[in-house]
Amino acid sequence: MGYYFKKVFLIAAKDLRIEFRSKEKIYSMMLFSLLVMVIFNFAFEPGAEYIKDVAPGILWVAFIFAASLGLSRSFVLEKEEDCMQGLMLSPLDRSGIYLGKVIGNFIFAMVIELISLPFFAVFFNLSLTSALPPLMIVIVLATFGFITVGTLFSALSVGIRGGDMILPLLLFPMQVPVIISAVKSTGLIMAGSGIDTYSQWLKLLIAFDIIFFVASFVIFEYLIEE
Amino acid sequence: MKEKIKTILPYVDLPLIILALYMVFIYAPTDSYMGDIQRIFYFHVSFAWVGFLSFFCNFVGSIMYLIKKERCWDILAVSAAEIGIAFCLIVLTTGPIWARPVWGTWWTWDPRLVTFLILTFMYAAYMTVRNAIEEETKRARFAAVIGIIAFLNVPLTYLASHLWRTIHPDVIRPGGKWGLDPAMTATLRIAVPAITIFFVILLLRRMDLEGMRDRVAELKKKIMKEA
Amino acid sequence: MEGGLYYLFLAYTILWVVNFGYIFFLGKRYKDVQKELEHLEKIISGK
Repeated sequence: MGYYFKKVFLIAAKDLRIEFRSKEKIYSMMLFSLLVMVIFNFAFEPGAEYIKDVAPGILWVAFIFAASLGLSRSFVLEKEEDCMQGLMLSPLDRSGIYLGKVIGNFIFAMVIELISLPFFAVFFNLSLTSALPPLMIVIVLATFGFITVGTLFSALSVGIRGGDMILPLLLFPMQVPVIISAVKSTGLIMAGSGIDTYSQWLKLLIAFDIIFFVASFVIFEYLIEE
Repeated sequence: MKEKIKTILPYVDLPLIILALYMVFIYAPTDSYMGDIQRIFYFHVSFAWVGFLSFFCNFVGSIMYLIKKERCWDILAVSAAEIGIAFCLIVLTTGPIWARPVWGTWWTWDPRLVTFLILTFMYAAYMTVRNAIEEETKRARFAAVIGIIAFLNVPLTYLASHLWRTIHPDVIRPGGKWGLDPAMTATLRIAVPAITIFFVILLLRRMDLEGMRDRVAELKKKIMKEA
Repeated sequence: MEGGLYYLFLAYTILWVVNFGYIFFLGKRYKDVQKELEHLEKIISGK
Protein backbone atom coordinates (compact mmCIF):
# COMPACT_ATOMS: atom_id res chain seq x y z
CA MET A 1 0.00 0.00 0.00
CA GLY A 2 2.72 2.44 0.97
CA TYR A 3 4.59 1.36 -2.12
CA TYR A 4 1.57 2.20 -4.27
CA PHE A 5 1.27 5.73 -2.89
CA LYS A 6 4.99 6.30 -3.25
CA LYS A 7 4.66 5.58 -6.96
CA VAL A 8 1.58 7.79 -7.20
CA PHE A 9 3.44 10.70 -5.62
CA LEU A 10 6.36 10.10 -7.97
CA ILE A 11 4.05 10.70 -10.93
CA ALA A 12 2.59 13.83 -9.36
CA ALA A 13 6.06 15.13 -8.45
CA LYS A 14 7.35 14.44 -11.95
CA ASP A 15 4.51 16.47 -13.48
CA LEU A 16 4.92 19.35 -11.07
CA ARG A 17 8.69 19.40 -11.57
CA ILE A 18 8.30 19.62 -15.35
CA GLU A 19 5.77 22.44 -15.09
CA PHE A 20 7.63 24.49 -12.52
CA ARG A 21 10.84 24.08 -14.45
CA SER A 22 9.55 25.19 -17.83
CA LYS A 23 7.22 27.81 -16.28
CA GLU A 24 5.51 28.16 -19.64
CA LYS A 25 2.23 26.70 -18.39
CA ILE A 26 2.35 28.61 -15.08
CA TYR A 27 2.76 31.94 -16.82
CA SER A 28 0.07 31.36 -19.40
CA MET A 29 -2.47 30.12 -16.85
CA MET A 30 -1.70 32.99 -14.48
CA LEU A 31 -1.99 35.63 -17.17
CA PHE A 32 -5.12 34.02 -18.50
CA SER A 33 -6.81 34.04 -15.11
CA LEU A 34 -5.90 37.71 -14.54
CA LEU A 35 -7.05 38.65 -18.03
CA VAL A 36 -10.46 37.10 -17.47
CA MET A 37 -10.89 39.21 -14.32
CA VAL A 38 -9.81 42.37 -16.14
CA ILE A 39 -11.88 41.77 -19.26
CA PHE A 40 -15.01 41.04 -17.24
CA ASN A 41 -14.62 44.37 -15.50
CA PHE A 42 -15.27 46.13 -18.79
CA ALA A 43 -18.69 44.53 -18.95
CA PHE A 44 -19.80 46.55 -15.93
CA GLU A 45 -19.94 50.19 -14.94
CA PRO A 46 -16.68 51.21 -13.26
CA GLY A 47 -17.10 51.52 -9.51
CA ALA A 48 -20.71 50.33 -9.54
CA GLU A 49 -22.04 48.92 -6.29
CA TYR A 50 -23.45 45.73 -7.86
CA ILE A 51 -19.94 44.65 -8.84
CA LYS A 52 -19.76 42.96 -5.44
CA ASP A 53 -22.69 40.74 -6.43
CA VAL A 54 -21.11 39.56 -9.65
CA ALA A 55 -17.53 39.30 -8.31
CA PRO A 56 -17.84 35.64 -7.13
CA GLY A 57 -19.05 34.62 -10.57
CA ILE A 58 -16.13 36.36 -12.24
CA LEU A 59 -13.68 34.76 -9.83
CA TRP A 60 -14.93 31.28 -10.64
CA VAL A 61 -15.09 31.85 -14.36
CA ALA A 62 -11.45 32.94 -14.17
CA PHE A 63 -10.45 29.91 -12.09
CA ILE A 64 -12.29 27.40 -14.19
CA PHE A 65 -11.12 28.78 -17.51
CA ALA A 66 -7.53 28.85 -16.31
CA ALA A 67 -7.78 25.34 -14.88
CA SER A 68 -9.23 23.92 -18.09
CA LEU A 69 -6.41 25.59 -20.02
CA GLY A 70 -3.99 23.67 -17.81
CA LEU A 71 -5.96 20.44 -18.02
CA SER A 72 -5.87 20.46 -21.80
CA ARG A 73 -2.07 20.19 -21.56
CA SER A 74 -2.02 17.57 -18.81
CA PHE A 75 -1.55 14.54 -21.05
CA VAL A 76 -0.08 16.27 -24.09
CA LEU A 77 3.53 15.83 -22.99
CA GLU A 78 2.99 12.14 -22.32
CA LYS A 79 1.56 11.77 -25.77
CA GLU A 80 4.16 13.81 -27.66
CA GLU A 81 7.15 12.02 -26.17
CA ASP A 82 5.39 8.65 -26.07
CA CYS A 83 5.73 8.57 -22.31
CA MET A 84 2.31 7.02 -21.89
CA GLN A 85 3.81 3.69 -22.92
CA GLY A 86 6.47 4.09 -20.25
CA LEU A 87 3.90 4.95 -17.58
CA MET A 88 1.80 1.97 -18.53
CA LEU A 89 4.82 -0.33 -18.40
CA SER A 90 5.69 0.86 -14.89
CA PRO A 91 4.73 -1.51 -12.06
CA LEU A 92 1.72 0.57 -11.10
CA ASP A 93 -1.84 -0.09 -12.11
CA ARG A 94 -3.63 2.42 -14.26
CA SER A 95 -5.70 3.83 -11.47
CA GLY A 96 -2.39 4.88 -9.92
CA ILE A 97 -1.53 6.90 -13.02
CA TYR A 98 -4.89 8.63 -12.68
CA LEU A 99 -4.35 9.32 -9.00
CA GLY A 100 -0.87 10.76 -9.64
CA LYS A 101 -2.20 12.97 -12.41
CA VAL A 102 -5.07 14.19 -10.24
CA ILE A 103 -2.73 15.14 -7.41
CA GLY A 104 -0.38 16.93 -9.80
CA ASN A 105 -3.17 18.82 -11.54
CA PHE A 106 -4.84 19.68 -8.24
CA ILE A 107 -1.71 21.17 -6.67
CA PHE A 108 -0.96 23.05 -9.84
CA ALA A 109 -4.47 24.53 -10.08
CA MET A 110 -4.39 25.46 -6.39
CA VAL A 111 -1.10 27.33 -6.85
CA ILE A 112 -2.54 29.34 -9.74
CA GLU A 113 -5.70 30.13 -7.78
CA LEU A 114 -3.85 31.21 -4.66
CA ILE A 115 -1.67 33.57 -6.69
CA SER A 116 -4.73 35.02 -8.48
CA LEU A 117 -6.75 35.55 -5.30
CA PRO A 118 -4.93 38.70 -4.07
CA PHE A 119 -5.24 40.25 -7.53
CA PHE A 120 -8.94 39.53 -7.41
CA ALA A 121 -9.23 41.30 -4.05
CA VAL A 122 -7.40 44.31 -5.45
CA PHE A 123 -9.30 44.54 -8.74
CA PHE A 124 -12.68 44.30 -7.04
CA ASN A 125 -11.71 46.29 -3.98
CA LEU A 126 -12.66 43.55 -1.55
CA SER A 127 -11.09 42.69 1.77
CA LEU A 128 -10.87 38.94 1.93
CA THR A 129 -8.82 38.44 5.10
CA SER A 130 -11.71 37.59 7.41
CA ALA A 131 -13.40 35.44 4.77
CA LEU A 132 -10.25 33.56 3.89
CA PRO A 133 -10.58 30.35 5.98
CA PRO A 134 -14.08 29.37 4.78
CA LEU A 135 -13.20 30.56 1.28
CA MET A 136 -10.24 28.18 1.26
CA ILE A 137 -12.55 25.25 2.01
CA VAL A 138 -14.73 26.17 -0.95
CA ILE A 139 -11.73 26.63 -3.23
CA VAL A 140 -10.24 23.27 -2.26
CA LEU A 141 -13.54 21.37 -2.66
CA ALA A 142 -14.51 23.01 -5.94
CA THR A 143 -11.03 22.72 -7.47
CA PHE A 144 -10.82 19.06 -6.53
CA GLY A 145 -14.22 18.38 -8.09
CA PHE A 146 -13.18 20.18 -11.23
CA ILE A 147 -9.89 18.30 -11.44
CA THR A 148 -11.32 14.78 -10.92
CA VAL A 149 -13.53 14.89 -14.01
CA GLY A 150 -11.09 17.20 -15.77
CA THR A 151 -8.19 14.74 -15.54
CA LEU A 152 -10.35 11.91 -16.88
CA PHE A 153 -11.57 13.96 -19.84
CA SER A 154 -8.10 15.35 -20.43
CA ALA A 155 -6.78 11.79 -20.86
CA LEU A 156 -9.70 11.15 -23.19
CA SER A 157 -9.24 14.24 -25.32
CA VAL A 158 -5.55 13.67 -26.14
CA GLY A 159 -6.61 10.44 -27.81
CA ILE A 160 -8.91 12.19 -30.30
CA ARG A 161 -8.20 14.35 -33.28
CA GLY A 162 -9.15 17.93 -32.46
CA GLY A 163 -9.35 16.91 -28.81
CA ASP A 164 -8.31 20.30 -27.45
CA MET A 165 -11.41 21.78 -29.09
CA ILE A 166 -13.65 19.09 -27.65
CA LEU A 167 -12.36 19.17 -24.07
CA PRO A 168 -14.23 22.38 -23.06
CA LEU A 169 -17.43 21.03 -24.64
CA LEU A 170 -17.18 18.02 -22.36
CA LEU A 171 -15.95 19.84 -19.29
CA PHE A 172 -18.17 22.89 -18.96
CA PRO A 173 -21.57 21.19 -18.91
CA MET A 174 -20.16 18.63 -16.49
CA GLN A 175 -19.04 21.37 -14.14
CA VAL A 176 -22.39 23.09 -13.77
CA PRO A 177 -23.04 21.78 -10.22
CA VAL A 178 -19.52 22.78 -9.14
CA ILE A 179 -19.80 26.25 -10.67
CA ILE A 180 -23.21 26.95 -9.13
CA SER A 181 -22.15 25.73 -5.67
CA ALA A 182 -18.81 27.52 -5.72
CA VAL A 183 -20.26 30.84 -6.90
CA LYS A 184 -23.14 30.78 -4.43
CA SER A 185 -21.05 29.83 -1.41
CA THR A 186 -18.31 32.32 -2.30
CA GLY A 187 -20.93 35.05 -2.53
CA LEU A 188 -22.40 34.13 0.86
CA ILE A 189 -18.97 33.95 2.47
CA MET A 190 -17.96 37.35 1.10
CA ALA A 191 -21.20 38.84 2.36
CA GLY A 192 -20.23 37.61 5.83
CA SER A 193 -23.00 35.03 6.26
CA GLY A 194 -22.65 32.15 8.71
CA ILE A 195 -21.80 28.58 7.75
CA ASP A 196 -25.43 27.42 8.06
CA THR A 197 -26.38 29.56 5.03
CA TYR A 198 -23.94 27.85 2.69
CA SER A 199 -23.47 24.43 4.30
CA GLN A 200 -25.83 22.89 1.73
CA TRP A 201 -23.53 24.07 -1.05
CA LEU A 202 -20.53 22.56 0.71
CA LYS A 203 -22.43 19.27 1.01
CA LEU A 204 -23.19 19.35 -2.69
CA LEU A 205 -19.52 19.98 -3.50
CA ILE A 206 -18.46 17.10 -1.26
CA ALA A 207 -21.01 14.81 -2.92
CA PHE A 208 -19.73 15.84 -6.36
CA ASP A 209 -16.11 15.26 -5.31
CA ILE A 210 -16.78 11.79 -3.94
CA ILE A 211 -19.02 10.59 -6.78
CA PHE A 212 -16.74 11.73 -9.57
CA PHE A 213 -13.50 10.82 -7.88
CA VAL A 214 -14.67 7.24 -7.36
CA ALA A 215 -16.28 6.98 -10.81
CA SER A 216 -13.26 8.42 -12.64
CA PHE A 217 -10.86 6.30 -10.60
CA VAL A 218 -12.70 3.14 -11.66
CA ILE A 219 -13.31 4.16 -15.28
CA PHE A 220 -9.84 5.52 -16.05
CA GLU A 221 -8.55 1.98 -16.42
CA TYR A 222 -10.83 1.39 -19.41
CA LEU A 223 -9.79 4.60 -21.04
CA ILE A 224 -6.12 3.90 -21.66
CA GLU A 225 -6.03 0.21 -22.39
CA GLU A 226 -4.13 0.00 -25.62
CA MET B 1 -39.93 -13.09 -32.91
CA LYS B 2 -37.93 -9.89 -32.79
CA GLU B 3 -38.83 -9.08 -36.39
CA LYS B 4 -42.49 -9.73 -35.62
CA ILE B 5 -42.48 -7.26 -32.74
CA LYS B 6 -40.77 -4.73 -34.94
CA THR B 7 -43.52 -4.93 -37.57
CA ILE B 8 -46.38 -5.05 -35.07
CA LEU B 9 -45.28 -2.14 -32.88
CA PRO B 10 -46.11 0.70 -35.31
CA TYR B 11 -49.62 -0.71 -35.76
CA VAL B 12 -50.09 -0.76 -32.00
CA ASP B 13 -48.67 2.69 -31.52
CA LEU B 14 -50.47 4.58 -34.27
CA PRO B 15 -53.98 4.15 -32.80
CA LEU B 16 -52.55 4.89 -29.39
CA ILE B 17 -51.06 8.18 -30.57
CA ILE B 18 -54.31 9.10 -32.32
CA LEU B 19 -56.24 8.29 -29.14
CA ALA B 20 -53.77 10.38 -27.13
CA LEU B 21 -54.21 13.30 -29.53
CA TYR B 22 -57.99 13.00 -29.30
CA MET B 23 -57.82 13.01 -25.51
CA VAL B 24 -55.39 15.91 -25.42
CA PHE B 25 -57.46 18.17 -27.68
CA ILE B 26 -61.04 17.08 -27.07
CA TYR B 27 -61.47 14.82 -24.04
CA ALA B 28 -59.28 16.65 -21.50
CA PRO B 29 -60.94 19.73 -19.95
CA THR B 30 -59.47 23.17 -20.55
CA ASP B 31 -57.32 24.27 -17.65
CA SER B 32 -59.16 26.98 -15.71
CA TYR B 33 -56.02 28.98 -14.98
CA MET B 34 -53.76 28.44 -17.96
CA GLY B 35 -56.35 27.86 -20.67
CA ASP B 36 -55.75 25.93 -23.87
CA ILE B 37 -52.00 26.35 -23.73
CA GLN B 38 -51.95 23.75 -20.95
CA ARG B 39 -52.66 21.11 -23.64
CA ILE B 40 -48.95 21.13 -24.51
CA PHE B 41 -48.31 19.65 -21.09
CA TYR B 42 -49.25 16.04 -21.99
CA PHE B 43 -46.86 15.62 -24.86
CA HIS B 44 -44.22 17.81 -23.28
CA VAL B 45 -44.13 15.57 -20.22
CA SER B 46 -44.18 12.41 -22.33
CA PHE B 47 -41.21 13.53 -24.40
CA ALA B 48 -39.33 14.67 -21.32
CA TRP B 49 -39.82 11.28 -19.70
CA VAL B 50 -38.78 9.41 -22.84
CA GLY B 51 -35.80 11.72 -23.36
CA PHE B 52 -34.66 10.85 -19.88
CA LEU B 53 -35.34 7.17 -20.52
CA SER B 54 -33.19 7.23 -23.64
CA PHE B 55 -30.25 8.67 -21.70
CA PHE B 56 -30.76 5.96 -19.14
CA CYS B 57 -30.56 3.39 -21.97
CA ASN B 58 -27.33 5.08 -23.03
CA PHE B 59 -26.02 4.76 -19.48
CA VAL B 60 -26.87 1.05 -19.30
CA GLY B 61 -25.37 0.44 -22.75
CA SER B 62 -22.20 2.29 -21.74
CA ILE B 63 -21.68 0.30 -18.54
CA MET B 64 -22.42 -3.00 -20.25
CA TYR B 65 -20.03 -2.15 -23.05
CA LEU B 66 -17.16 -1.54 -20.66
CA ILE B 67 -17.87 -4.83 -18.89
CA LYS B 68 -18.63 -7.09 -21.86
CA LYS B 69 -16.88 -5.30 -24.75
CA GLU B 70 -19.64 -6.38 -27.11
CA ARG B 71 -20.54 -4.19 -30.04
CA CYS B 72 -24.30 -4.57 -29.47
CA TRP B 73 -24.12 -2.51 -26.26
CA ASP B 74 -22.34 0.28 -28.07
CA ILE B 75 -25.05 0.18 -30.71
CA LEU B 76 -27.68 0.57 -28.00
CA ALA B 77 -25.76 3.48 -26.45
CA VAL B 78 -25.30 5.48 -29.63
CA SER B 79 -28.87 4.89 -30.85
CA ALA B 80 -30.36 5.94 -27.54
CA ALA B 81 -28.18 9.05 -27.32
CA GLU B 82 -29.15 10.25 -30.78
CA ILE B 83 -32.88 9.83 -30.20
CA GLY B 84 -32.50 11.37 -26.75
CA ILE B 85 -31.05 14.53 -28.27
CA ALA B 86 -33.93 14.78 -30.74
CA PHE B 87 -36.46 14.38 -27.92
CA CYS B 88 -34.62 16.90 -25.75
CA LEU B 89 -34.93 19.42 -28.57
CA ILE B 90 -38.70 18.89 -28.48
CA VAL B 91 -38.76 19.35 -24.70
CA LEU B 92 -36.61 22.46 -24.88
CA THR B 93 -38.81 24.10 -27.55
CA THR B 94 -42.24 23.17 -26.24
CA GLY B 95 -41.23 24.22 -22.70
CA PRO B 96 -40.49 27.86 -23.53
CA ILE B 97 -43.52 28.08 -25.85
CA TRP B 98 -45.67 27.08 -22.88
CA ALA B 99 -43.78 29.39 -20.50
CA ARG B 100 -44.23 32.45 -22.73
CA PRO B 101 -48.00 32.92 -22.27
CA VAL B 102 -48.16 31.40 -18.78
CA TRP B 103 -45.12 32.91 -17.09
CA GLY B 104 -44.65 35.82 -19.47
CA THR B 105 -41.12 34.86 -20.41
CA TRP B 106 -39.56 32.45 -22.91
CA TRP B 107 -36.83 31.14 -20.74
CA THR B 108 -36.70 30.66 -17.00
CA TRP B 109 -33.89 29.05 -15.06
CA ASP B 110 -36.23 26.42 -13.78
CA PRO B 111 -34.29 23.38 -12.45
CA ARG B 112 -35.97 21.02 -14.89
CA LEU B 113 -35.26 23.30 -17.82
CA VAL B 114 -31.64 23.77 -16.76
CA THR B 115 -31.18 20.02 -16.33
CA PHE B 116 -32.54 19.27 -19.79
CA LEU B 117 -30.43 22.01 -21.34
CA ILE B 118 -27.25 20.71 -19.72
CA LEU B 119 -28.22 17.16 -20.64
CA THR B 120 -28.54 18.19 -24.28
CA PHE B 121 -25.14 19.88 -24.19
CA MET B 122 -23.51 16.81 -22.65
CA TYR B 123 -24.91 14.40 -25.20
CA ALA B 124 -24.13 16.77 -28.05
CA ALA B 125 -20.50 16.62 -26.84
CA TYR B 126 -20.87 12.83 -26.64
CA MET B 127 -21.85 12.70 -30.32
CA THR B 128 -19.01 15.09 -31.24
CA VAL B 129 -16.49 12.77 -29.61
CA ARG B 130 -17.93 9.78 -31.43
CA ASN B 131 -17.62 11.54 -34.76
CA ALA B 132 -14.00 12.47 -34.06
CA ILE B 133 -12.80 8.87 -33.57
CA GLU B 134 -12.32 6.53 -36.52
CA GLU B 135 -11.29 3.33 -34.81
CA GLU B 136 -14.32 1.35 -33.74
CA THR B 137 -13.35 -0.13 -30.36
CA LYS B 138 -11.67 3.06 -29.22
CA ARG B 139 -14.75 5.07 -30.16
CA ALA B 140 -17.00 2.72 -28.23
CA ARG B 141 -14.74 2.79 -25.18
CA PHE B 142 -14.35 6.57 -25.06
CA ALA B 143 -18.05 7.12 -25.68
CA ALA B 144 -18.95 4.70 -22.88
CA VAL B 145 -16.76 6.65 -20.45
CA ILE B 146 -18.54 9.89 -21.33
CA GLY B 147 -21.96 8.25 -21.23
CA ILE B 148 -21.43 7.02 -17.69
CA ILE B 149 -19.98 10.26 -16.32
CA ALA B 150 -22.62 12.40 -18.04
CA PHE B 151 -25.51 10.41 -16.61
CA LEU B 152 -24.09 10.45 -13.09
CA ASN B 153 -24.09 14.22 -13.34
CA VAL B 154 -27.85 14.49 -13.94
CA PRO B 155 -29.04 14.32 -10.29
CA LEU B 156 -26.32 16.71 -9.14
CA THR B 157 -27.16 19.22 -11.86
CA TYR B 158 -30.82 19.03 -10.93
CA LEU B 159 -30.08 19.42 -7.23
CA ALA B 160 -27.71 22.35 -7.78
CA SER B 161 -30.09 24.25 -10.05
CA HIS B 162 -32.96 23.52 -7.69
CA LEU B 163 -31.15 24.93 -4.64
CA TRP B 164 -29.92 27.82 -6.74
CA ARG B 165 -33.43 28.79 -7.78
CA THR B 166 -34.98 28.58 -4.34
CA ILE B 167 -32.36 30.94 -2.98
CA HIS B 168 -32.48 33.20 -6.01
CA PRO B 169 -35.11 35.99 -6.00
CA ASP B 170 -38.18 34.43 -7.49
CA VAL B 171 -39.76 36.61 -10.17
CA ILE B 172 -41.88 33.86 -11.56
CA ARG B 173 -44.58 31.81 -9.93
CA PRO B 174 -43.61 28.18 -10.11
CA GLY B 175 -46.32 26.23 -11.94
CA GLY B 176 -45.66 23.08 -9.96
CA LYS B 177 -48.67 22.64 -7.70
CA TRP B 178 -51.82 22.49 -9.68
CA GLY B 179 -54.29 19.74 -8.97
CA LEU B 180 -54.74 17.50 -11.98
CA ASP B 181 -58.28 16.74 -13.06
CA PRO B 182 -58.97 12.95 -13.34
CA ALA B 183 -59.54 13.37 -17.09
CA MET B 184 -56.17 15.09 -17.33
CA THR B 185 -54.47 12.24 -15.50
CA ALA B 186 -56.16 9.73 -17.81
CA THR B 187 -54.92 11.66 -20.84
CA LEU B 188 -51.40 11.64 -19.49
CA ARG B 189 -51.67 7.90 -18.86
CA ILE B 190 -52.35 7.35 -22.56
CA ALA B 191 -49.86 9.89 -23.90
CA VAL B 192 -46.86 8.55 -21.96
CA PRO B 193 -47.08 4.92 -23.17
CA ALA B 194 -47.88 6.09 -26.70
CA ILE B 195 -44.65 8.10 -26.84
CA THR B 196 -42.68 5.41 -25.02
CA ILE B 197 -43.63 2.85 -27.68
CA PHE B 198 -42.80 5.44 -30.32
CA PHE B 199 -39.35 5.67 -28.75
CA VAL B 200 -38.92 1.89 -28.80
CA ILE B 201 -39.83 1.80 -32.50
CA LEU B 202 -37.29 4.50 -33.31
CA LEU B 203 -34.65 2.86 -31.13
CA LEU B 204 -35.00 -0.54 -32.82
CA ARG B 205 -34.80 1.08 -36.25
CA ARG B 206 -31.79 3.14 -35.31
CA MET B 207 -30.04 0.03 -33.96
CA ASP B 208 -30.80 -1.79 -37.22
CA LEU B 209 -29.17 1.04 -39.11
CA GLU B 210 -26.02 0.73 -37.03
CA GLY B 211 -25.95 -3.03 -37.62
CA MET B 212 -26.27 -2.48 -41.37
CA ARG B 213 -23.40 -0.03 -41.29
CA ASP B 214 -21.29 -2.72 -39.67
CA ARG B 215 -22.20 -5.08 -42.51
CA VAL B 216 -21.16 -2.46 -45.06
CA ALA B 217 -17.81 -1.94 -43.35
CA GLU B 218 -17.31 -5.70 -43.18
CA LEU B 219 -18.06 -6.21 -46.87
CA LYS B 220 -15.82 -3.32 -47.83
CA LYS B 221 -12.96 -4.88 -45.94
CA LYS B 222 -13.59 -8.19 -47.65
CA ILE B 223 -13.56 -6.59 -51.09
CA MET B 224 -10.38 -4.68 -50.29
CA LYS B 225 -8.71 -7.91 -49.26
CA GLU B 226 -9.71 -9.67 -52.44
CA ALA B 227 -8.64 -6.82 -54.67
CA MET C 1 -54.56 33.34 -21.47
CA GLU C 2 -54.28 35.72 -24.44
CA GLY C 3 -53.21 33.97 -27.64
CA GLY C 4 -53.07 30.58 -25.93
CA LEU C 5 -54.24 28.77 -29.06
CA TYR C 6 -51.55 30.39 -31.15
CA TYR C 7 -48.83 29.12 -28.83
CA LEU C 8 -50.48 25.72 -28.63
CA PHE C 9 -50.48 25.50 -32.42
CA LEU C 10 -46.85 26.60 -32.55
CA ALA C 11 -45.76 24.02 -29.98
CA TYR C 12 -47.46 21.09 -31.68
CA THR C 13 -46.19 22.18 -35.07
CA ILE C 14 -42.61 22.18 -33.83
CA LEU C 15 -43.16 18.89 -32.04
CA TRP C 16 -44.30 17.10 -35.18
CA VAL C 17 -41.79 18.83 -37.44
CA VAL C 18 -38.92 17.62 -35.25
CA ASN C 19 -40.38 14.12 -35.03
CA PHE C 20 -41.05 13.73 -38.74
CA GLY C 21 -37.74 15.40 -39.49
CA TYR C 22 -35.98 12.76 -37.43
CA ILE C 23 -37.97 9.91 -38.96
CA PHE C 24 -37.18 11.25 -42.43
CA PHE C 25 -33.49 11.59 -41.57
CA LEU C 26 -33.44 8.06 -40.18
CA GLY C 27 -35.23 6.68 -43.25
CA LYS C 28 -32.86 8.43 -45.61
CA ARG C 29 -29.79 6.98 -43.92
CA TYR C 30 -31.50 3.60 -43.87
CA LYS C 31 -32.09 3.72 -47.60
CA ASP C 32 -28.56 4.92 -48.37
CA VAL C 33 -26.97 2.14 -46.35
CA GLN C 34 -29.29 -0.43 -47.87
CA LYS C 35 -28.32 0.70 -51.37
CA GLU C 36 -24.65 0.52 -50.51
CA LEU C 37 -25.11 -2.90 -49.01
CA GLU C 38 -26.82 -4.22 -52.14
CA HIS C 39 -24.11 -2.70 -54.29
CA LEU C 40 -21.36 -4.35 -52.27
CA GLU C 41 -23.11 -7.69 -52.27
CA LYS C 42 -23.38 -7.53 -56.05
CA ILE C 43 -19.63 -6.89 -56.32
CA ILE C 44 -18.86 -9.84 -54.10
CA SER C 45 -21.17 -12.29 -55.85
CA GLY C 46 -19.91 -11.08 -59.23
CA LYS C 47 -16.40 -12.13 -58.44
